[in-house]
Amino acid sequence: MIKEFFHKIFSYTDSEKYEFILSNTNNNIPKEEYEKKDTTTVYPTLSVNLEYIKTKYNLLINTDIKTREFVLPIKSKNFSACLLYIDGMVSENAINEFILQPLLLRNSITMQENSNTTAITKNISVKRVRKFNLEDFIYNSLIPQNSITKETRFSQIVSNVNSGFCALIVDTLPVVFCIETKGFKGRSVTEPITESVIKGSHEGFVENIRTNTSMIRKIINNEKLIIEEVSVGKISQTKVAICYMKDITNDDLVAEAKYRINHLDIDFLLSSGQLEQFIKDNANMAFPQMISTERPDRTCHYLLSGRVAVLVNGSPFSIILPAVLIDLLTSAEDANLNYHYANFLRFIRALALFFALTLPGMYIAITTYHHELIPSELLSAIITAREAIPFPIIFEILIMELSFELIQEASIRVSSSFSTTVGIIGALILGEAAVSANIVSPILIIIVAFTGISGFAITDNTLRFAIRMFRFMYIVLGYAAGFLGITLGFYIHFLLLANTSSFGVPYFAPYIPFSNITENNNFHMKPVWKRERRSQFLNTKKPEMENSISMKWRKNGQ
Amino acid sequence: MDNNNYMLQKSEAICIFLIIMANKLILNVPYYIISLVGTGAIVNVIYIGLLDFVFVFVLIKLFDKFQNSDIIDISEYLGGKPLKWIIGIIFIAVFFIVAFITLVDFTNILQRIYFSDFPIIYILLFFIAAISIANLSGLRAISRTTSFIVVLTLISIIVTLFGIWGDVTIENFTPILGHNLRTTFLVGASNCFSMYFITYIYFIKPVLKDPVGFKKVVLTSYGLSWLLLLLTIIPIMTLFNIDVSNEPINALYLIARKIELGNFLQRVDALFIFLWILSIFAYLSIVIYFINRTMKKLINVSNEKMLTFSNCSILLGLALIPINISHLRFIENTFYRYMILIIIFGLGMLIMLLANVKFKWKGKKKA
Repeated sequence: MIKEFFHKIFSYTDSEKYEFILSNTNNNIPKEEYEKKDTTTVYPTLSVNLEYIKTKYNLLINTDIKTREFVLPIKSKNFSACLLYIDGMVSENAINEFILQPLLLRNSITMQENSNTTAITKNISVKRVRKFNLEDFIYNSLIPQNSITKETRFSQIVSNVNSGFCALIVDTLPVVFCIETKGFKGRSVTEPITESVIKGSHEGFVENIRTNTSMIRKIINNEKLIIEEVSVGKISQTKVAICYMKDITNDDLVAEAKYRINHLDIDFLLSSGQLEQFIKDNANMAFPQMISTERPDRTCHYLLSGRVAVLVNGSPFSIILPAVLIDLLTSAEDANLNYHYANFLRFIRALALFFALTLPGMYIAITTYHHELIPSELLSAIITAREAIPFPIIFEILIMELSFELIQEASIRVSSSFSTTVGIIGALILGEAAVSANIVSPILIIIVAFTGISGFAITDNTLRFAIRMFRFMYIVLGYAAGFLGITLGFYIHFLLLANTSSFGVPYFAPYIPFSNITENNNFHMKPVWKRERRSQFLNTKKPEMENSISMKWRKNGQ
Repeated sequence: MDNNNYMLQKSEAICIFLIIMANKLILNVPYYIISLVGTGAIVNVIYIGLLDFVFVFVLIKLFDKFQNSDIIDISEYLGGKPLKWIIGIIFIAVFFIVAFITLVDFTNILQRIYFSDFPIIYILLFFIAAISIANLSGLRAISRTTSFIVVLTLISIIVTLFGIWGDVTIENFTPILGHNLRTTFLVGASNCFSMYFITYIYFIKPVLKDPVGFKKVVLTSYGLSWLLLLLTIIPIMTLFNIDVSNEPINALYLIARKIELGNFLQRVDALFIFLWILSIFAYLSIVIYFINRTMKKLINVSNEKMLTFSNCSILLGLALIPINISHLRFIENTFYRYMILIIIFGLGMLIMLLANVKFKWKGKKKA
């Protein structure tokens, strides 16, 4: 023991640090090989097919790919068969009750019933012999599933199995039956997190695309609602649904949306946010060019207005296209409110947008260059408050804005139990303590807080990000040249936005270029009975949305 | 649509004409009218309105024969490449002089009001940056931005005018015919230069989406511009003693300073300056766009955007020429006035008349 003790203290031992270095040898798979399309077709021999599947799916190491081999007794013959499915993606009950039971149990009964004879006369009986087709027999008589397809190519079979189908491979048949047995677990429908409303639906999209399309169908009870599905991503094969109203939406808009989505040469697509970046008109523009919503009712509202909605499997958001600037100032609740309140709220949001973007920059501009704009009493209060501050105003405001951004980012990233703590730390330390320590002036706290609250009033999340980012530009411009700098910022912003269009619709529509601003899609919301026409800039097939006298009961009553 | 080949809608073209006019109003042109004809300014504005209307109407008629052509194309038709080059260079020079005057005048105002501690180049660089970015963005961005800015600018001008409406007294406008008939009608005819936007009529037709609407665009713009000029004259006559030879720093700005909106916004002029800077940005961007476009026709470059940096550099260089305010005022009030009259009303009209004669003569020859 003592010897060991001294040995430990005085002797040299190798460090126990484990070090792994990723080899940098070139092990790239050639692109041609990667992109080579699998054109292999199904063999009429089960063992060959199974061997192919085992190689394709790496069954020796892949644990969730299951195969269930069994014998199918038909017409006193035994056919070897096999089911292929992915554990966790299929409903085991569906496989047991609607595939295995009919194949193994009901099959024998069917065979007995089929082997009867027909009497022609008292003494003569004829055994009815029909030409037997195994493929048709299984398809028509054995599997009671509503969704079943016959596939001959392995690429299609693998794609189906990957999305929750069960493949039935039968010996001697050159086809494979792909039976829908989807049964993966998903989040149930809950209230939308980013777009909560008081007066309106409380249902939000979920990650499952089929649930989302059904929620849209549930609201729009019309066969003219088209939901086309395409796969995006060479590896991920993500399902993307393009939804539109066949008799309302402009055909060119639908064609353009489909064209852009179908021409994406990417390995994977994981979310609607990613898709939005891939298909937007101006890729370098920070402002959102599509509406992103997690509300089925809002999606339906836009669909019925003549727009296209795109859903991505795995993403609880739909993207609406095209979008104009005014759309980003509207809320899901606007349509449910009396037009007086809706207009008031829109005005507040527009004001919030302006303040969130420019207030700190304006503050710097006014206090540095344009003192005459504010009353002398207020100016002297600002100067007195800043007397003890050792930093220039730009430094002071940048400290506060960066701190605010940090708090915002931290409170989103931490779990909800910590976010309260982050808020308290932010409010106390960055607010009270910074003022007490003479790092910032109290009036600046008011400015930053007001700016922050204004930012939260913006309904569109992407727009909020853009505003947060550009606010810093306006701070620098305001400091550099007061209103001249801010005006330059505005001018550049106008130019960029004026040059932007979303799926062929100018960003400032319907105002610039001037169109019929009496239409519905205005900043000023009309009373519900006067929203007679769809937006002119969408050039819909059905411009009228309401009869000129929509409230006929009034007319009839007179 | 490709941004390089963007064509203006009627409303966008009208907005471009209006922003050109609005800038002339912001930059003391109404004061120059009043300083020449005194209290006869209102009559004079009505008179020059009629003269300009006749001119514009004739010009529209002369353009009838030439679809999708501007004065540069028409010059080429009339006198081949030599005349095209001469006319092109003259008009480019006019555009540069006008842009130079506007830029120097406005930056001087800004320097005196807000940036007395900064060198003039510092202020100029903001303008040059705005013009460069606008022209790199293309006509679509410029025209749509102008459509937005013109509304704000016109509102600011109208608010300014109505802000002091209470001070308007009839004594300020009498004698209504001014010093004498000769000054009001003969000498005062030179005030026709105030409708400077007429210059752009020579260039707008090929960029119109619907050239058939050319007449409508020009006449609407003309009517609105004339109305705006008349409305601006009235408060300026009210506030300034026209006999005093000291020219105000900027008449409209001084009017804006008199507006008070309660106790909080004691000086709304700062807000108006903010809008007027926007309108100057838009105006200068348009001028540089037409310079680029004219140059493109002369030297056959594929894209006019390529000329943006060189032309903006020339403008910056011109604006940096040391010039005192009295010289600037002379250039604005006298040189500019006669330059516009001679080149736009004289030379331009002459080219159009001769081109029409040639057209008719050729037509007869063919027949």
